[in-house]
Amino acid sequence: MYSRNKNSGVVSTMYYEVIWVGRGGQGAVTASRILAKALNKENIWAQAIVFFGAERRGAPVYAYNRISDQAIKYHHFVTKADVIVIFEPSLIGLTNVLDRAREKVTIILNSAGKSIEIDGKLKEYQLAVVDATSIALQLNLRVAGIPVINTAMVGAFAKALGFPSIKSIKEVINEVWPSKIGELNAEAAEKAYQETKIIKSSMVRE
Amino acid sequence: MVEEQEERLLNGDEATAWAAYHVEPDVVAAYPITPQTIIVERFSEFVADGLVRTEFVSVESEHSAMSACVGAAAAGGRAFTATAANGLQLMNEILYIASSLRLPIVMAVANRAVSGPINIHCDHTDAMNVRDAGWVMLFCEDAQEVYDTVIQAFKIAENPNVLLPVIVSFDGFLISHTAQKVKVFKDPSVVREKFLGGPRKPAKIKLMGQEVELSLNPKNPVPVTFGPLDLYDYYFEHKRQQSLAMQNAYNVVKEVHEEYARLSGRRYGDGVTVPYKLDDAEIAVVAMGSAPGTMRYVIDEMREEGIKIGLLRLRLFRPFPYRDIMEKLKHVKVVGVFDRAQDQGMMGGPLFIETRAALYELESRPKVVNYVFGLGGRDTPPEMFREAFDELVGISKGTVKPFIRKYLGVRE
Repeated sequence: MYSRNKNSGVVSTMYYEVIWVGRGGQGAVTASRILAKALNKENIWAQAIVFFGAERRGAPVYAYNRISDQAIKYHHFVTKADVIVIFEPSLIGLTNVLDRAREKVTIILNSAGKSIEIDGKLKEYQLAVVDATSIALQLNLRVAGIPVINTAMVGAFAKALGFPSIKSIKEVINEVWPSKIGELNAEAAEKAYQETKIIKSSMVRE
Repeated sequence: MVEEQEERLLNGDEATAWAAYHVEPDVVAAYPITPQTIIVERFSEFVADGLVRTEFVSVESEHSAMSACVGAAAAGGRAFTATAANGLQLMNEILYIASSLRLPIVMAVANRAVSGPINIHCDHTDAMNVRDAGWVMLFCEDAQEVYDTVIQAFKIAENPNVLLPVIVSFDGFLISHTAQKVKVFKDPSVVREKFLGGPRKPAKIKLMGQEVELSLNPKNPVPVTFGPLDLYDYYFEHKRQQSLAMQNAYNVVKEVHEEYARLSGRRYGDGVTVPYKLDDAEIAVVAMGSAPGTMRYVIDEMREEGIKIGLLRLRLFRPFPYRDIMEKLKHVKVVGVFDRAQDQGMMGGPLFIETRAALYELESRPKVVNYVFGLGGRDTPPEMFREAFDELVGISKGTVKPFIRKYLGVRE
């Protein structure tokens, strides 16, 4: 488990900061909220944070989480992250998000399996890859033509980090959309959970 | 007895909407503005879903939103609105009218920088621009406190010894758009019936020998007028009464906070100020809004290093709790006041000026210095506060020369 450095004052057995980066319309903000709700179900405290500027469809959009076993009273930007969730490989070159990685970082990437060159930028990292776009297309999950991958990425988070349980995530999805849409999204999360591969684990995460 | 509650993931705006849902005002009139928009979006959903019987009035500007609230409250109704930044400035004219007509309107303000340059992020300049408008003003630290305070605000406003409108402020984006676990009452009637005692009951006054309701109620035996011409013969007396009402609000804020705590199990200091590690402190920090959350981690860290530092968060800003400030800070050597608001042409930020004025009354006064920070949503990391707090330690030891005002986290 990660303990935040003493400079920030938190003495906690569990403390994570998460950056979600997607394109406007892909649902990164909703993903951070689903994750926070699922964590709350398991009595883990979470903030789900969003800052708007001039966001628009297609442009990079960020959402954040703070996660801890204690109530979090921080109210400032998440600048560095222990977990970075990237909704498509093109966002790596387009943004500086990898510069915001902590030394030991977990990167969760939606990709059709193409190899990703990020070794030069990071010292120790765990890379988890899932083809969330294919999962969305298989389930015919689209909004305005765009594949809905956010719920799948929450499933991938659970696989890569080992928490929260996929059960809690599916429950939350079904609560948020109590209909066929919810069922399909829960299925996408489940599929992503099953299919997420840890393809690089050069780090040691205790 | 603490009432049954349920946990929800809500941001500050949603927490406000839930509070309004549980209060069920007679009228909500609002115009959308970031970062407040989610409040009225969610509330309009509650209306559409039939969860509240509120008359929801979509208006074309904030000036009209406040005017509609004035009409509703004058007619004896419970009225609510929400705004931010430029929207609040546009309301300004009607804010003074609402308070002088003694109308218990409640308004949520998601604090945002005032244009220009145009900016949608947090600072307190919007609220500070209306600090003399005669409204009771409360500042919250997180989304839970927002839910609790919006509910309390109605009871404070409607108290017959107060009858003043109330602003509930919370930081834009940092609170308005940050979701966290929030406990809300499971049964809205705990709020509507048990806490507020059912629909609003306008105060009774004696008029021409008869008891009448202080509202535009056609059933009144003697008609009541709101807002007639009031010149040099009575205007001053009415202003003096308004001033007394504001003084009365101080105790009512405390009483209502305590009464609510018995239902919710939650307290924020005594409802007026929230001290943290102040008892033996030599250095004190004064701040409002969400920054104190981050500041407390820094204080914990410095305490571990043996530095006697503490925090006084003001929850109540109007009426200004100057006696509490004198009492709680009389033993410290150095006070750093943190203003998240513009100070153009002033000696310092508004919080600094009033805090310093309050401490002037003490026989032995601490050094009081001002930091202006976080304008336009500029980040407020713990490291930044640490730098300032270390400077305060330096002042207490005589290694740093005292100053009046500094700007924290700005490129110069």
